[in-house]
Amino acid sequence: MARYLERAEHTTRLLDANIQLMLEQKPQAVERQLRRINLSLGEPLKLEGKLSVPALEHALIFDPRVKTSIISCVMNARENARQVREQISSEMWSELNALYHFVKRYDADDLEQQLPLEFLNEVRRNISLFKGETDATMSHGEEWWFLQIGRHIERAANTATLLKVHAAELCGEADIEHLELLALLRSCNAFEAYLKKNTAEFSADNIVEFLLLNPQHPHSILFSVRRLEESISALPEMSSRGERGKVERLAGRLAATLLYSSVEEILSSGLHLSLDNVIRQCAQMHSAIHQAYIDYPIETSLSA
Amino acid sequence: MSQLSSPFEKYELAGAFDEMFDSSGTVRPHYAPLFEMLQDSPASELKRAKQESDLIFLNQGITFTVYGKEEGTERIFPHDLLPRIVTRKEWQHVEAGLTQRITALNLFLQDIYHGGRILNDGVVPRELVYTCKYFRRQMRGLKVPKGVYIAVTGTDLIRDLDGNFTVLEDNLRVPSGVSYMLTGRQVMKRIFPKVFRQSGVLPIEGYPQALLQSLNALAPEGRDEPNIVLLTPGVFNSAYFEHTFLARQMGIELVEGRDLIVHDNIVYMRTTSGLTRVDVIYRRIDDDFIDPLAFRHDSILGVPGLFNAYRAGNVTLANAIGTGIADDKALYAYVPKIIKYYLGQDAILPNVETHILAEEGPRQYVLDNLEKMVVKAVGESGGYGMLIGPHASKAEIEEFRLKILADPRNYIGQPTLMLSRAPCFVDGEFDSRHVDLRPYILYGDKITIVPGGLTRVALRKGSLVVNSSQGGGSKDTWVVDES
Repeated sequence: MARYLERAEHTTRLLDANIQLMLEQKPQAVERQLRRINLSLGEPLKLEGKLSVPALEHALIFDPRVKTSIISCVMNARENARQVREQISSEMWSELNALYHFVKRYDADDLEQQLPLEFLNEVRRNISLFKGETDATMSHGEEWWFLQIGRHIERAANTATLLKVHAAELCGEADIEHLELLALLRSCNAFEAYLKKNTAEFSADNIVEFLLLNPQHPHSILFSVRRLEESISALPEMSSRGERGKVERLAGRLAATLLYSSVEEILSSGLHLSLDNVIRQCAQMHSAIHQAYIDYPIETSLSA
Repeated sequence: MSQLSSPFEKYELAGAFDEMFDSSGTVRPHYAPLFEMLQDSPASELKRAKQESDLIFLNQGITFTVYGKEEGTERIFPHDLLPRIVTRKEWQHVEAGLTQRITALNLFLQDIYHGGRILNDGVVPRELVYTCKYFRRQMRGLKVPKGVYIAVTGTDLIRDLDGNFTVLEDNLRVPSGVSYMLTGRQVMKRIFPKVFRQSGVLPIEGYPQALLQSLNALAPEGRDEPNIVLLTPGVFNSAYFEHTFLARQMGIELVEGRDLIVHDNIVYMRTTSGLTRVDVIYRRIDDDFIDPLAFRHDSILGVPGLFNAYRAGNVTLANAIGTGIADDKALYAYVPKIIKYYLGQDAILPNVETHILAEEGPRQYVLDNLEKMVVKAVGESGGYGMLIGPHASKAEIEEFRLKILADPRNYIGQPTLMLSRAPCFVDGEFDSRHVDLRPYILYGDKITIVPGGLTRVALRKGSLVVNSSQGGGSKDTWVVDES
């Protein structure tokens, strides 16, 4: 549930930042940017014919066949919430439900006429409300920590994937426009925070460092991984075999790798390698948690 | 006059250059996408768009303060729905003209605060400079980094009856309004995305970064990673929104005078983790108030000792102290000569014909024709201290006559100008209003001008006063690539 919502929020931000950016770009730059967004989805869309802005908007908002579209994410999150309805608070449920109905109600034909910026803004606000209700109305026990894990695995993986599609440019192998860097930071909610840290000077090194290694910004990869580590250690120990320890070790290793790297090292040894590593480890953690806590074989828990 | 098609039936075209239509009532090509959209949109939809845009301004707190009124002094900045559009070709002309003008004015400042060549050669009368209240003798002989006095300028341009851009005045002290240019653009992108995309508007988003780069370039020598701050007079200042906006967009600290201290001619900022040295101050406080030890003793906005630190070369002020001399409205008349003197070129952007009232001949002419002239106090800004002859009552004219006679150096006279007009959406209808254009010129290592500026609108019908404090509003300005 938390993963889906985090994903929906990511898609929302990605669209919002890029739609605004593309208004001012030249056609070839728009095309490049569209290709980049498409790649950053993890599973690129197979759109027929040429990529166009309205087609991409439509797919990422309304197409239930696209796994990362807002509608799919919200629908899946609501399905998950229904299954654990008794675990979550009524306030959380009603926010999520309201979001679901809001997204369903929106008329796809409106896209022809105007940009969905207001719509995206409303989705973002709704998700924030849900997160606020989660923190304020649910006990911060095991269930809450699971939500945190989902959110931060997804966030770390999203930031990593987005950085990856910009890797060539950030390593200086290709040109990148100022506006595109702006959109990258905006997509990670990091624009104003970046300015506060590094002022309005945009350098590839600083951007990579900020999004990958900043210890304080909630959308940096290091931040997410450390929250993840913290959340995992709050989970109960299932058996004496140390399943939790296994997951903890995965998270701890990734956190330590990031914590003790410098941006120069990462850039010189290949940014995409580091990012691939982050993405792979996130997937590993996901399945390790799944195995340890949900899909565990019955023997492991009885033999203790 | 030919009849304009719907929805512009009531639109007034005669008597001034119109930005959208040529004199026969045909839409200029660069306005075509906007015009088509307006034809297709019902008035109700535009009204809704207008409400939406107002709401964004209100929610973001984009407001300004009007002085001299008791209640409700904080208002949202009136922002007209329709953009003002300029072609790239026109813009290139403006850009070249402004670059030339600012280069020359900067050389002028450097000259009068050092050798005074231009005064010795008699091109600009000595007493005009020395009687200006913005001439700061404290600046004599002081070297400023890279010789740049004016890091930020806002120059007001108007179009004459034939559509030629003409300089109305320069603002070389602390020009404001750039935040309205930037936020207005964000709002327009939300409201009219489709037209925006079709028109090919050049981006202005780089302004904060360009400003920061300019400030960086002006840091004292040897300070490689300068600490830059924005000095504001505080929350009661009319442009406080802009100060917070720019500080946020540049990622620099916003400080008030009391946050800074000077010790051994070095400026420090108080922070929660101790004192931090400050290298460049983008100050939004007038010269008079910046240091009570050097200028006005009663100022509580400034920083005691700041001027000495500045003299010692330990901190840069942007803009430099004493730049106001070059935007004195009497000196304005000499700018074409100043350009010729330093650069050996003719001014690309012409001046408005200006009569210096300290000189007897012109004074008599202006006094005889007061009801046709615009008279301005030389050191005022914001539309204060101004007489617009054709719109003034007999009593007001007589009152001004006495003021001029009492202190002729303080005033200049200009013919009443017909500012160009652009369509505005007022009370649910389209009507024409007078507009000007204020581009922002940045000067660091080089001169940078983002393509656009603040178009100010005189929202009252027929009015020629565009200042926000006097019932003016703004429009987003689009420089479009017509190719």
